Amino acid sequence: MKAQQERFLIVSVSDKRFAFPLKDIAEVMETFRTYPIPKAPPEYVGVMNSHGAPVPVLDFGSFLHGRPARQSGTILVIDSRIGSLALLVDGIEKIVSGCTAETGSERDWLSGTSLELEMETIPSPSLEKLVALLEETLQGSGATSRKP
Amino acid sequence: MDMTQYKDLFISEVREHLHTMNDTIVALERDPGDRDKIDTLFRMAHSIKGMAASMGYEAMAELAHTMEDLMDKVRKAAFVFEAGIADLLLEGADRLADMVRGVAEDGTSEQEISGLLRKLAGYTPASDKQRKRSAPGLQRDETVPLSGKPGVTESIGQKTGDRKAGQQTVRVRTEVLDSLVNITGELVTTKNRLATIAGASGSRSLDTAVSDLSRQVRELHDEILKLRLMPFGAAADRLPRTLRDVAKKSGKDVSLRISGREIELDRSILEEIADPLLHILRNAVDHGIEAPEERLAAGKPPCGTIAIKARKEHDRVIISISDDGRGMDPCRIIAAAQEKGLISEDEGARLSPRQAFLLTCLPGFSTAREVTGISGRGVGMDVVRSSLMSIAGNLSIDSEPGRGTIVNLSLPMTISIIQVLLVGCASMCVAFPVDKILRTIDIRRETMTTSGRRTVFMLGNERIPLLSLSRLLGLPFPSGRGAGIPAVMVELRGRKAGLVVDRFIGQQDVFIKPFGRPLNRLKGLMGGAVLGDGQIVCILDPAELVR
Repeated sequence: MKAQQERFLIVSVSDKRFAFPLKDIAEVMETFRTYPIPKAPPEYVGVMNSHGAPVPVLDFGSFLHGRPARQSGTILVIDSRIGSLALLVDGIEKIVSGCTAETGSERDWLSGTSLELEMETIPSPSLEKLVALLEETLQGSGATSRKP
Repeated sequence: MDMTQYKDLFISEVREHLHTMNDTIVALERDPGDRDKIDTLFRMAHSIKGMAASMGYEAMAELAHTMEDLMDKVRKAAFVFEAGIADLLLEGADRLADMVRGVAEDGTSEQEISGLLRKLAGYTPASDKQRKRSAPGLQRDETVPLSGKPGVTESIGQKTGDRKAGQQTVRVRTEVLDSLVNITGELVTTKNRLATIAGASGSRSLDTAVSDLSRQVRELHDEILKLRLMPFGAAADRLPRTLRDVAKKSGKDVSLRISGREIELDRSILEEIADPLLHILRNAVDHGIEAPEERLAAGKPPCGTIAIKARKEHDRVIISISDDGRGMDPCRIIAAAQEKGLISEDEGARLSPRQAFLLTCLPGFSTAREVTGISGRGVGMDVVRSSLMSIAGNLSIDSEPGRGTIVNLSLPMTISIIQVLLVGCASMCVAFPVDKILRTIDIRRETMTTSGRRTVFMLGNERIPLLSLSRLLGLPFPSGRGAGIPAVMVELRGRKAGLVVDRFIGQQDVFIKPFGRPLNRLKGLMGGAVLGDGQIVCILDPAELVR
């Protein structure tokens, strides 16, 4: 069976590229202002005002690599059907069409699915699984973080 | 003809009829000769049959038809309305409710009901004696025993099926009401923004206009919230039926009194307290009310009583659930909590009885000799308390060994717009709901002492532990405090405590927006709100901060 083509947003985070399905991204913002979240782990930059709704911003690079959270970059507000979350990434490269392939175990939320692009295998993280992982992390305690 | 456009209406009407049906069946058990109720029950089954048939849900129509047939026999005095009939009709009502759920979820009402249809159609009364109808107009008691001698209760004069003659109503989808509340909430946020601008501009006319707008938004909000209000009876209606089943299962005699059914609460609050109420009731029957022989030995009537009272107190609704069962011993509760390592010996020694009773709300706490299937293992009092906290409610417990227990739920009437106290803590501005604050205080240093690793201060003759909000939030400590230390006094685990803050900023009405996934899992946060300057402030739940 032929896989269906989908559009992806290619973003960069700490010299790595990731492909997010465009349908899962509600909005892209270049400027933003955040306010601190009490008891949140350090990779949460803060909470931002997204059209009147409080939406937490997660520094994706900090979450992945434990680097200090930053206050600059590009914000991807994810679709509200998945969760109430925005990801801070270093930048957006382009929008491409393509098909993902299973390249790891189903439990591997980060690189279980990938997109072949320009001879490169780009991980296409599952945002649904990311939100579930963040929930699990926050449920345990307010000030710890669990890296993938 | 495409009937799908009528599906929502069908579902809501059948659910209403089933509510009435459940109430009426249980009420008829205690007063089998009540002609009005017999007619109501027949009419409900008939209406459901007609509606289901017109929508093409044949199985549902057939089940309702068979229930109607059985009721017709009662109506025509061929059968007395007895416990066996009640059981069958309740089973039928449950099955109809399942079918409606099926219609709502996947559009189908199909279920295997042939066994139930046979039982309904082939029902024969328990004895010939019972065929004689009890004389109509039996004296109605205010309460009637449940259980082996079934019959539940509700307060007289609260007929669920009654409708005021000539009352005009419009059916509105709940989503529309939710949306109206959201829009009004946004208006409050915009109004706060305008107030900030007006304050900065120094314009008196703008100030006056904002003040007028503020009053109008508040009025609009109040009116919209009234649309969402529902009587406590809407949640209480489930209780007699549940209690009947639980009492039967446990072999206890229990009567239930419900009062204050007309007291109104926001729909979302009623939804949130439905399960906690059921759990408290099950606990009361399962662990509170003694078996008849034990009650007789203790000099009590064999039939236990549970009373549920709803009443208004200022802007809150208090729901009390009391029983005349065996009560609780605070010493035993403290000992159990210590044994489980939930509190230290020193902490246990300082607890008042009321504080000790609240230990039952700690996760994992249970003094029951055995966990029965009735109260269940999954949902404990900790979940009850958490549910209440999530709607800015509170719970208190009082009990006397041998005399009984009373559980009081204190609830806001509405939740979306709340008054908060904004406080500064390091570089952070956070908010506490005003109704979770006992008082604010500037603590004088000379009233502070240390006791072991704890800092306490004296308020009158009371020693009150002091906690740093900065430490709780993982923030740096402030340096160079003045003579007075600002603190908010709150109740933590049933005890007063002071939370030291850096500064008080002020009070404000805010539209609280709960956090979605994943932040809703972070304990201690009730949600966020947008202030007048666009700033987002997190609203803290003090009780959850220290869990």
